[in-house]
Amino acid sequence: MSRRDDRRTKIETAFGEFQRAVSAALGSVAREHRLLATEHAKDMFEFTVRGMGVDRALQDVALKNVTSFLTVDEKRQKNPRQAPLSMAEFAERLDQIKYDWQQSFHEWTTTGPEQLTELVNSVAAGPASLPHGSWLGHPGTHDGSEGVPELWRIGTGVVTSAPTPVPFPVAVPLLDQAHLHISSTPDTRHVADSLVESLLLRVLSHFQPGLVHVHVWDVGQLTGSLPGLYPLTRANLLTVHDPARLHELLDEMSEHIRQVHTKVLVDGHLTVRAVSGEGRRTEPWRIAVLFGNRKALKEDQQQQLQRVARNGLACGVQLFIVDIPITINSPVETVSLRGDGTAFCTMTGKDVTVTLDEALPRTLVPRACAAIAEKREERRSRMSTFGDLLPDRPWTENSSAGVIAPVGFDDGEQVCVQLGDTSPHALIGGPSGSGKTNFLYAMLGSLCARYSPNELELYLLDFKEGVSFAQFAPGRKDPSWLPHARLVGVNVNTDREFGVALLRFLSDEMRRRADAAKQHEVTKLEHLRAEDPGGRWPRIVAVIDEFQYLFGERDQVTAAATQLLEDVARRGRSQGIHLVLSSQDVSGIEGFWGKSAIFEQFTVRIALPKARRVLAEPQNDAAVELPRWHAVINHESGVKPGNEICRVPDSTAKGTMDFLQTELWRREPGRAPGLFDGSKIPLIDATQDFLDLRPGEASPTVLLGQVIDVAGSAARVRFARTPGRNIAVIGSVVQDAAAVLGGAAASLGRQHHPHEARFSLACLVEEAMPSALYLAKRLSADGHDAEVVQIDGLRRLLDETAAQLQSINTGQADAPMQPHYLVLYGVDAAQTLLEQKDPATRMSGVDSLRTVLKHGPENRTHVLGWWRGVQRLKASLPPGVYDDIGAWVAFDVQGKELLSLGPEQVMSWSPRPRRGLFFDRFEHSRPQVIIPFDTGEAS
Amino acid sequence: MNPMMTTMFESVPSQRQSEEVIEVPAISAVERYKEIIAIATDAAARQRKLDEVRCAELAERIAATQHEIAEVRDRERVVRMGAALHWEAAVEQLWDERWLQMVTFPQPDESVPPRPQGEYNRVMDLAYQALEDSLAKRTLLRRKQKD
Repeated sequence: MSRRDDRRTKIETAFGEFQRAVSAALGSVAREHRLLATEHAKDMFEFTVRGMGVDRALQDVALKNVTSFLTVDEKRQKNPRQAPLSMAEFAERLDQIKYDWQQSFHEWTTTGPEQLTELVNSVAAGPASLPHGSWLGHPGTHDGSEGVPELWRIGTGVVTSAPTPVPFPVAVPLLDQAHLHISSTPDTRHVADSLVESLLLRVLSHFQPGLVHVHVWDVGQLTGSLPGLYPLTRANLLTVHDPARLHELLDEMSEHIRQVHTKVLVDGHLTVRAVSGEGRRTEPWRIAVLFGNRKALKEDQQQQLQRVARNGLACGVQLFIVDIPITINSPVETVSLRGDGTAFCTMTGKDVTVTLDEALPRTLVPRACAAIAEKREERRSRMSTFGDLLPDRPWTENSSAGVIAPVGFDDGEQVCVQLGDTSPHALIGGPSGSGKTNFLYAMLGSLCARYSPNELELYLLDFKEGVSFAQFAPGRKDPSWLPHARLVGVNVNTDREFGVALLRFLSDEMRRRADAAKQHEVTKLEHLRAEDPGGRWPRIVAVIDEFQYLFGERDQVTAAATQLLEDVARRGRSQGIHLVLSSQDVSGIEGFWGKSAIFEQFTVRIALPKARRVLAEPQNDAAVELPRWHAVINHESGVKPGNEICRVPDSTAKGTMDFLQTELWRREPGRAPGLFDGSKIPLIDATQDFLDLRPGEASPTVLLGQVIDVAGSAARVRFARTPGRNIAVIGSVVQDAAAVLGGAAASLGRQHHPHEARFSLACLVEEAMPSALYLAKRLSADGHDAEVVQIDGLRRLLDETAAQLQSINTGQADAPMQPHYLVLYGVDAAQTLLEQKDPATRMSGVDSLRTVLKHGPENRTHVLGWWRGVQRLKASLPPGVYDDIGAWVAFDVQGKELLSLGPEQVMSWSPRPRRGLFFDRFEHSRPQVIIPFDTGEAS
Repeated sequence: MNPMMTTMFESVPSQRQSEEVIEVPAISAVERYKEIIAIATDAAARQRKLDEVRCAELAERIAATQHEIAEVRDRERVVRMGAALHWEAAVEQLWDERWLQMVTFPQPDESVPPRPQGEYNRVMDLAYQALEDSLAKRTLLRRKQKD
């Protein structure tokens, strides 16, 4: 190799080294710069993504089209050095961001949408949430007894900030729960309209037609809002209000709320829903839809709307407020539409974007509304029957707070009568033929089907044969009875004492309850029941038909009745005792209207056609034009706004009340009710008090007849061994006298063993002979010694008995241990005979009789005598001294004649068939009316 | 007393009567719905908080990196300048070597192992020195001729 070549090689090598060294120096610094720049870019990227929110960043167009390179040397404008920069470069950062994101939303993503779907499906069944295909066009069937759907679907939501946007149903609470406020933009008003329409159709298609009434007001137009709903106007389910008359709509709603408060929300209930409980909804919902123009209402209207909103929900008033700026002080959900047609709402919050459901098909909505209207018309025109008054399942209601029962129908809707603390008693008026019986049957049937006998007891009394409650007691043809009835009084007629007895019974029961309540330190039945859950405290409803008879005369019965009625009327309310008084004509009943303390308590007024004065006349003349089979039910003491007119279904036809009674009786008959039938004479052998008599009593009890009381107990006289224990029957009719004497002797016979007592029957008037013989036969059959003497044997009987008594009194003989009863029929017929004196002793038969009367009782010798007049009785007694007759029963004798024998109350007695006035001077302060027994003689 | 009860003591606590209703504060569907929605709302809030914290961190780092970038940029400029000067000097000196095939300015080689920049700079200086040395004789002669 030449020197020159050698040099060249050296230069080439050195130059190559130099080039590599330059490349390396440049490369090293460039790489450092690039790496820093890349890291910086990544940080910027993450900063941007997290700063704007990963969800939005991923949607962001700018980020998607992010520049694919990074200018490292910005100074080299012409040929910039570029570093590659794609999304892939940032994958790692993005993955970390996404991981964080998924972790944050893990619980939501895995459970949220699914849970919401399940929840909505479970509480919003049927039309409340399903797509319209399955329900639109089919009128609803729910009556509210299954509750109200808690949510109503409006659309689909997604959580936009979630990593996986899973859609879920969006629903809002409505009826009874929250109002709805919708705000839209000018472009999306039609979406708001569709939302309102869909929700209304969902609600209307869920419930039975008639349970939801819609009111529409649109500030902008008279017609045109919600056109699809117009067919509903035909059935009065839609009311469209004039744009200029918002106040009318608000007034109507306010009035409705007021009415619900006074009529429905009583007894401490706060909402209509609480009143209806699990039963059928009694009060329809009213949905008021208000379309505004995004401007505030006038100040007064604003305030009124706020009042309606505040009080409406509890009373079934629901507001849909569209584009009216207003704040409401009650639960409200808001749906705000955005310009793009999506929405956000208070149910879901700001993180959820709601896509509202598609509008319902335009052609189907009017058709569906027409179907609802038609169904409503059909229901309205249908003849609602007795069966429609009854609940699906009997005896499910609780009477703690009161009793309520439908009695008729108004436009297919049930109209109820309510008895409780605020409407304690009812007054029913209706002339004969106006359907009073029918109404009472409907009311009683409806009540009895709802409340079990442990919740409700009935005391039923009819004075006239006008209404018969006899059906409710066991009869010969129909052995069943109404299990709720504790007492049935029929044909009471002139036995007004029975009405008084019932009132007295109620008054005593009221006191008993008040005492029990006091022990539990409460005042009301409702609270007593809460304090004493084991006790049996049913509400008592006492129905007295033709109650005016109670006040028929100016006597003690009327006075007692008035006093007791006032007592029960005033204080019965809190003890769960309710009176239902009915009459053909209540207008002239002084005992009722004369005392404001009484009639003011009768806040429930029921007027049948042509009834007078039941309602607050003359302002309220609703009863005058009332058609047949209809009634005005008024819970506000008869003032006009309280009127509810209803048609009362036929409840007396075969297969109605009688069928219900048999059904209930089969279910649980309980104890048969006590029956008082004024037209029947009680049979002594069927009387419990008679059957209870046994031998062995030191002082036997004499039963004279049946007292007019609730228990149907017997009138009794104790034959103690004391002076005066003789009984006189005064009257001219043999039948009455024989019944009393027969019953008395038979009851005595029952209390002695065979041959223990001696019965001497003296028949001094011929007509009485059969009775005497019958009695003798009856006594003999029981094994007693019973002799019958006629007028010729009387003198000897009396003289002998008197002589025996004399000998005991003078100590010549021991006291006779054998009881001796002298039953004398028509003593006065033998007066002349008895007045004859014995020539030897100078004693008359009258003297002997007086001796027997005077000294007999203490020696177990008692006289049961019949005199045919007061004067005739007095003739048998020592002048002016009548106390040897301790007890007496008077029949056809005027009261004033009896004054010398009893207290002054006897003055008011006037004779009536088959009734006697009984007084025992040793036991009574006032006389009692009794019904003599049927001793079986007639049969 | 309950006729079924045989002892004074009940082995089982008294059971609920059918009529009694236990007062459970039932949660309404609306409340339940909002509870479930709250899961999402909470998640979103949590995510936002997380992002905020991270963004604050990033903001600090970005500021720091920007500073470093400015430094490295200056450094790069200096290196480039030095390289360019060396290169120009080399080209000038090689001008007379007609036989030598000239090449363009070298491209940066980023594949070099990471070492402090100073080392590379020094290597570059030394390489230039070596190149200069390889040309020295002639240069010396020339210088002599000039002198």
